[in-house]
Amino acid sequence: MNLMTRWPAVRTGGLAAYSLVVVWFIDTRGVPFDRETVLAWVCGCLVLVNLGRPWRQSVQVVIDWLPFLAVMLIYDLVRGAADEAGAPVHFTPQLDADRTLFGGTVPTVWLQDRLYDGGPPRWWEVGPALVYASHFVVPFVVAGVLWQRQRERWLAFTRRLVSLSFLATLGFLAFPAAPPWLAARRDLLPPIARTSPRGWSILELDVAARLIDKGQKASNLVAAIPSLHAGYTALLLVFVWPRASRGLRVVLVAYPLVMGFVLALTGEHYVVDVLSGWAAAALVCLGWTAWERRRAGRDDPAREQCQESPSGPGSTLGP
Amino acid sequence: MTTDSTGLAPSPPSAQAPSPPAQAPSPPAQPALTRSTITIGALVSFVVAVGVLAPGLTRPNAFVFDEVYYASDALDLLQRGVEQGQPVHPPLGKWLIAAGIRVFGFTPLGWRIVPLLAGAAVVALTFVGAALLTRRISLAATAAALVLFDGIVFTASRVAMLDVFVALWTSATLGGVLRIRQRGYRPGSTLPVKLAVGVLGGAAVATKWSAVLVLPVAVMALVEADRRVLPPGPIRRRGVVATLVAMTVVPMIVYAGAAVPFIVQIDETRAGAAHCRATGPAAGPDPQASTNISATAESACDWTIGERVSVWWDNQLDVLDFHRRLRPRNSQAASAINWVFQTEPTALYDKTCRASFTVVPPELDDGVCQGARAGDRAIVMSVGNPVLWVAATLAMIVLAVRTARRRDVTTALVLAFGLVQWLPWTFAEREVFTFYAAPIVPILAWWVVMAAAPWAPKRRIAVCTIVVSLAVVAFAAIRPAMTARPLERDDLGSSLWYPSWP
Repeated sequence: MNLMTRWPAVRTGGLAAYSLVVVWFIDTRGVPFDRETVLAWVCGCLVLVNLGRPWRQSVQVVIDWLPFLAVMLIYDLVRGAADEAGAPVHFTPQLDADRTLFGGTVPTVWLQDRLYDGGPPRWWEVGPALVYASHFVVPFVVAGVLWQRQRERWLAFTRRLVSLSFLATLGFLAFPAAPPWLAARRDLLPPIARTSPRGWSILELDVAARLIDKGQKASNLVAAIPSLHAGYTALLLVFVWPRASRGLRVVLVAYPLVMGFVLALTGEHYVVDVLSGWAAAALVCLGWTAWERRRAGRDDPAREQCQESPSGPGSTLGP
Repeated sequence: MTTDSTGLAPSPPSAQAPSPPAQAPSPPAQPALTRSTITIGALVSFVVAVGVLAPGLTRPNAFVFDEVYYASDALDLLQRGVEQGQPVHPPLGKWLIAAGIRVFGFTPLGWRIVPLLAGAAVVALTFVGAALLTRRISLAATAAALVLFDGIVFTASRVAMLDVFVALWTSATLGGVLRIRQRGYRPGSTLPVKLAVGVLGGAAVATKWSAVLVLPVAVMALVEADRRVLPPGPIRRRGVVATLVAMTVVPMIVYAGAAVPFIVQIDETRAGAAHCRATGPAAGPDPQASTNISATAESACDWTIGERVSVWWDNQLDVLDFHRRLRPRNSQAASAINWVFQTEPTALYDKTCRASFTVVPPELDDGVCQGARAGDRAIVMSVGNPVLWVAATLAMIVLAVRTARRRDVTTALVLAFGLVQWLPWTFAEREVFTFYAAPIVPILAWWVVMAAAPWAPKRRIAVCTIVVSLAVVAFAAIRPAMTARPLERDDLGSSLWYPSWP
């Protein structure tokens, strides 16, 4: 058996070892939520997957992903800077909108009244913790899968992701908005706990909770409208849907809905924040699709990216 | 005719006879950037730079490093026309700081706003210079990004010190020289640009003496162009004389102009007061003479013009003596040879928050530790982006080889412009701080894009993308240690790369 035929086994072994390292890393240092670490893990995986293939493929990992990381870091800087622009923080419009939408009740208050008693975390809080934290990992893992399967689709996805992020920053700049937990501290709402990291202690990954807690404190606290947690999930739905299998489509539809529920439950966002995130994702997708159509012509495959026919060609992301 | 890899061969004096194309082995011919493209690019660079530089500008709400001198001097200039203490630099930069104080008051925003605008202008000028040098908008944007994400320019633009102004004037001077070399030799258009370059060079020296070495380089570059392009005889002689006048007399006039307030209001200055005490009616030993800077007792002196100029000149010699006698005492001083790897940055501000800081009276609180935990540390570190500095050092070698092989004058000029502002610091026996390198940073970026300019488009774009991306990643990692944001020591670890960093 020559080396060429052994490469699949080498890759499999490498990925298995890589998985063990990831598990060890998570166990000792927590789930990686910072942009650099997540992308580094994804790129490491991509390099392993391309073992035995032309070396240019591995170089391409760096050439493609380093600028992506740089752009996302610039977004992080801009988002943080939006906090210091000095625009007045809005507390009530989004609160009033939720009250109007739900007949005088704010969903976060209603949910926490029934599901949160201030005691130690309960088993089911693992779910909200994982869903909330998936925002920091899932879009980049999906990007990694897209890159490996079809670089053009990766390009289409990343330009949507980056555009959505910067579009949201315009929202943060123009309309700094306090989330429910912050409004509660101003006595505009009954006490609301920020419960998103609580479930990690059930998993005995308190370090992850601390990382999220620290990240939340260091980030722009009034970057609430539009909600990028919600926006990214909607983007995944719209982008992956055309090529997804039936099972994956169920997940794709459920993800934004569950994320929206979790964001409201954990006091992170009002429902209108979530809706605005979905709208921003739709706007970005429509804009890029129109641009790609115009660039490539009506019959060009590029039109597939947001509105591709379900029966279109190409591999599926689903099982 | 010497070759010019950037295609910046001057046009001939006669409009009828366009110059033969420069013997440009590279880059391959491509449409020149239009003036409007360059202008739009410069404006975009300026606006983006303001957006990157401005957040958190007023933190700390206190003097940072030498702001205690420059902001105070600027306030003096505003109120009295001269500095109250003994100035150690010419006044132009402090006048610029004073303009911000005039608009926004004697507050951190007031004394930092003009340096910030100057820093953004440096980024825009870098774009323009790179566009002139390479004729490629992608390379111009690369250069501007490299400067924008360099920590030395970043911090120099966010404190009320003088180095960002030196960077502004010197990069504008070089830009002017490039413009003349590119298309200045048209009837009637050369002299005003030469005079403008002389004004810019003079402004640089009137901000800090360290900029003076750019003038001889500019003179050599312009005289070389005069001799190369102008026909022998009276036309060439006039061109050379115009260059010499523009680059010697004009800077001197600018420098002297900046000194006029000192001369006019000599009795308000510390040097004038000392002179008055020594020579006036009540002359005699005065133990307070060296420290008393009150402006109340000097009116007894009658000043002739000659005396005023003489005292100003003596003061210049005192300042020169001060700089000559500076020896490394400050722990933040470091050798300029370390600038390549940025191993010894200057900490402009370094504060560890304590629990007791929560009871500091508001008027004494610089605001940095608000909301911080005990033990958190806030730093403003002047450190170059190692990605840029290492890339530029490699580019310098490439350009030096290219210059030697092709006798490429423009490349030699840009190399020399950087080296005359760097090498002297490596030999200096006095204190050297990293922020002295601010004027070099735009030139480093030009070195990088000039080295990449002749490459094939695919390779060039890939390398520039990688370099800029790495620079952004490095900047994002180091930025927390440049903005006085209180952080836990573990978090600061990713910002402080070397054990030698503060």
